[in-house]
Amino acid sequence: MVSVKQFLPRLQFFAESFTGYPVKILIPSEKESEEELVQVQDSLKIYVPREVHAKDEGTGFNYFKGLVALQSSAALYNGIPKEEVFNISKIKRSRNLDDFIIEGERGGLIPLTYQTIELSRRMQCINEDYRVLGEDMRYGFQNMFDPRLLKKSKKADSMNEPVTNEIDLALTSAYWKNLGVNPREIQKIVDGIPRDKQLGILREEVQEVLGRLVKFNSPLNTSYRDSVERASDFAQYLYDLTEDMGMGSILHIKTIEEYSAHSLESQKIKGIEYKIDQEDLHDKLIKNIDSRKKELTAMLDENSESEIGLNSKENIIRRLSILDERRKNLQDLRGSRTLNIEQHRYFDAERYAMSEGASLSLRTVFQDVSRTHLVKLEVPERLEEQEYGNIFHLPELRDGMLVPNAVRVIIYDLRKDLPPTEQQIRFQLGLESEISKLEREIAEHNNKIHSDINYIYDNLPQIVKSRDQAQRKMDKVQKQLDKSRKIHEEMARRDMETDAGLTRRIEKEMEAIKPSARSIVRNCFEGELDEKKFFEWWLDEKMGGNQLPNFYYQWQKRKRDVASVLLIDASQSAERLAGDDKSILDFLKQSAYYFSLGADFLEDKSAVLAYNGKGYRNSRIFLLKDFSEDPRRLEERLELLKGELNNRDGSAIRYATQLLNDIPAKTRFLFHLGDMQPSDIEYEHRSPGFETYRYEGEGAFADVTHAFNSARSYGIIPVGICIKKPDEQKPKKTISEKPKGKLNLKVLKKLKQEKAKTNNIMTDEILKQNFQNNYKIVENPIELPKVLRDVYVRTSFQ
Amino acid sequence: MEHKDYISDKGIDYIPQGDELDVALTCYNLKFPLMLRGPTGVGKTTLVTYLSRYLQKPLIEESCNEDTLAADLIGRNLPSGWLDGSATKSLRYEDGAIYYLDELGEARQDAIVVVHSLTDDRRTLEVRAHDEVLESPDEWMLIASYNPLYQLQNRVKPSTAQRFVTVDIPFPRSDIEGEIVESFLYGGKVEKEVKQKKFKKRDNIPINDIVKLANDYRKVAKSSDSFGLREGPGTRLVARTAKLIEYGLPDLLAIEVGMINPLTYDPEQKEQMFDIAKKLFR
Repeated sequence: MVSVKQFLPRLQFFAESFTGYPVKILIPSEKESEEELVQVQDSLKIYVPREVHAKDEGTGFNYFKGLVALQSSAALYNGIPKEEVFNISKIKRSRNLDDFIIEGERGGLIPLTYQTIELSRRMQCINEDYRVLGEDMRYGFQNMFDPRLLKKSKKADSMNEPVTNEIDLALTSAYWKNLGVNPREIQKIVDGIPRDKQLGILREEVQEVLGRLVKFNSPLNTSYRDSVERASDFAQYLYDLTEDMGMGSILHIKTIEEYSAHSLESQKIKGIEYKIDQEDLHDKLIKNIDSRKKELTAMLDENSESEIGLNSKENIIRRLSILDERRKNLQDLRGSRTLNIEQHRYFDAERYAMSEGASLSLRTVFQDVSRTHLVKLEVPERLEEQEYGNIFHLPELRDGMLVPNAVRVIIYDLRKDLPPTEQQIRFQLGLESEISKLEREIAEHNNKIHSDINYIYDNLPQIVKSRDQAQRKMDKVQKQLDKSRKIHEEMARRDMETDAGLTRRIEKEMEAIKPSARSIVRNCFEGELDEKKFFEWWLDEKMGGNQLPNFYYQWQKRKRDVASVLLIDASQSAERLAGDDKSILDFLKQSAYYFSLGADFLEDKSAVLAYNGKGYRNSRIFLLKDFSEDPRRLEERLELLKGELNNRDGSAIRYATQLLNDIPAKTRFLFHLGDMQPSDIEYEHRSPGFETYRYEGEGAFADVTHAFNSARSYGIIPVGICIKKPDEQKPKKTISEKPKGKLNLKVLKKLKQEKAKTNNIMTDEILKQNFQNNYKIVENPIELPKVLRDVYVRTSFQ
Repeated sequence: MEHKDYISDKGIDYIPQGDELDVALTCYNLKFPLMLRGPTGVGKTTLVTYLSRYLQKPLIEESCNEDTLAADLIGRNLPSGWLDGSATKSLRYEDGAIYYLDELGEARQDAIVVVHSLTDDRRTLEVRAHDEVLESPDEWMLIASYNPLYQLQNRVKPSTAQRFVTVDIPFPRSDIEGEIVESFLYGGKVEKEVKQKKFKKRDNIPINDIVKLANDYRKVAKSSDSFGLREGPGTRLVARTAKLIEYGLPDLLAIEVGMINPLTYDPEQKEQMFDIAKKLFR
């Protein structure tokens, strides 16, 4: 047994080389943890079984590589089906694409054919594109072959006579040949299986037809559509074949349920068999054969040749001869009462309707991986059209453990993509779920309407009516959704006041600091001539000494190589009023603006980020100013910033750390501006079984501390400016109005005192822990811009 | 600053741990710059001195550090006249030389940029101070080394890393290490003679496959957000890899030193990138 666990990272990387999307490899038999499910949201899901029987690790890895390649290459080789309706003209029925795909899970013949053809197509594409990989894959798959699978097609009928499902046999052998099993070996096994009494004479032909269908001449130019067409060609072929042989059609039996329903039907017919006039039936059948003969002769005259040769000349001639034979047989049977033709008609058809060997073969290779998934890879919508922001994952400390990729962070450029508000998201999510519900309903109705056995449902008009109703409702909801999205785009902006006088003052302040940052460096090899030093050197040279000619001096800028990121907490709490008509956020914005101005005047590198979010998969970071951008850009974006939702500080700090880490600078600062109260609740996954992860209290503080510590380990200096909440001292009700039992006032007092104490210690200690001495507590937000500037200058010149 | 520039006949012989000597000689023949990567004391410098002896070329070494200036590499004007820097000096040997930049990761970017023009196909060095363009002789070779493990902070920029054919030198296998220690203890020469492999020039170079592979790497670089593969291989890397394959290096070895190593030094990631290379090459 080779387990897939050890290969998972390699397989993921491998799959991404096909798709170019982020990929997540999943094991169907294992329930994913909450964190994993979150990550999967926006990745391409690829499934592999947990383990495989293989003789060594290399073979096992080849097998897993094969599975991953077959699935992930769908994107590369046009294998991702779109919603379409395909027509199989001959059987006069339109089939939904899903019929080709989904029903395969339940053993239907045509879906299985489609899957076999499509897998074969991809296999050939890979073979052509990545020769070595193709060989490896076949090597991995060959191992799974078991001759017993081919023998599954062999059964015994009620008379205990051997009966072979020739179609299944052909399908199974085509499948295994495609996976690299030696064709001669397969042929040997096939030859050992007794021929079916009815279709046995056609064994070579069915094998050849299917063999031609799975073979593509230039696979790289094909798409899944070719596979569908070929599968429908095969359906037509089977239709012709069974008609010619005088059997009932086997194509409308798509599932086990229908299979048993048909058995019931045939039972019914059995019950009434004696009422059928045998003579009449004979006449009818012979008439039928004559008309088909006429049809075929006409086709022969037209000499129309289809590509895969199903209606080729020789094929038609063969079919004509079969018809002749049958006609003769019927005439011989005229008058005999021993054989009930109608009964046989149904009996034979059922025998070919299910393809057990092929179905089992697929299961052998793909194990518990859903077959639907194999042929219908779902590309997450967000990947196809990235509406908002850039997404990536960051770790988080949870219950003392660092969970990798636990938080999904979305980075927005506020000028390009405004994230929708919480209300909008809720509203839109509601509409979307309604649409998908209606879609399902419509599909259900459609299935009933298009079903072959729709006579089971007496109320067809009723179904059509309710489908149309659902359709109309869906259109309406869709319109609503579009409107909501449009409204979001026209979101209002809020002006920001900037003081030109202050700007000039800051410029002057900074200019005043700058010159002191220049210093003289002596003993240089180049620069201005240091006369005293030169004289010494000259003397030494004259004396025959050999001093280095370092008699220059240079005015060097004292290397101010500072890069800093300012991190602003833009959560709901920042919308609190702080001045007469200004919120804390307004002051935060101002301080951010003047901060970046100051840094700009000092020629320091600076970036400004704001963050908020709700839930660990919707942690938002707004890139207000990148290192390379001008402060004016910042102003434009600041106007769009709003305080909303919660704050998950840890992920924002980690992102800022990453950003800073890529900037070459000697001194790096991470300024954090906010109330230092990380808190976040979950709201997205309300479904049962989902445990939501709250981000509050000690756990959240521990995560923030961890994030700052890791920043420090990269040589970044965190600096904190904490806005103290004025309402912290608000008295709280600790007891209900009517206390039950005896109340010990002493104990109550003690408890209250302890609580107050811990609260204070909590904030102070944590600030000290996070920022060491580099923090400042601001009580009045109006002071913010000045405090930030002071802190910046003080710390950066230390 | 003094530069060592002699062909030393001292020092122990180098025992190859893998294909690094073959790759180094291939680079010498193809005029590609070579980067040696590995932990401290695994023999990066020994390999270079051995090469210098083997090829009979003088070795000019520049140990880079934070204070290494561009002038140290190019040269400077002194009252007594012009004094060549290490790079300039190495280029003046008409029969070629080996120019070794030790601990490249320590050097400041502005100093390193000076040698960029020496690492691509131009192989020239512009000395602005007296308007001179030095062309490197055919037998001149540039080797750099750095230790990725303790240079996480000051790592070599991708733009520089992608200019070198890169070989990872791991800690030697215990049997080889035993031999090395023995020869060091008793002063004896290593008996095993190191032979240069003969490569046969290849005619049918799988250009399409190499380009396809590069595109696959670019795809992965685009998709992987947490893997740290920042960018895919540039065309220069692809072209050089093709040249290495044409020279006769085994396909996968050429891809490793030409494409994978310059992009990453994480062993896990290297393995994953090998998996992708094995889609097309054996």
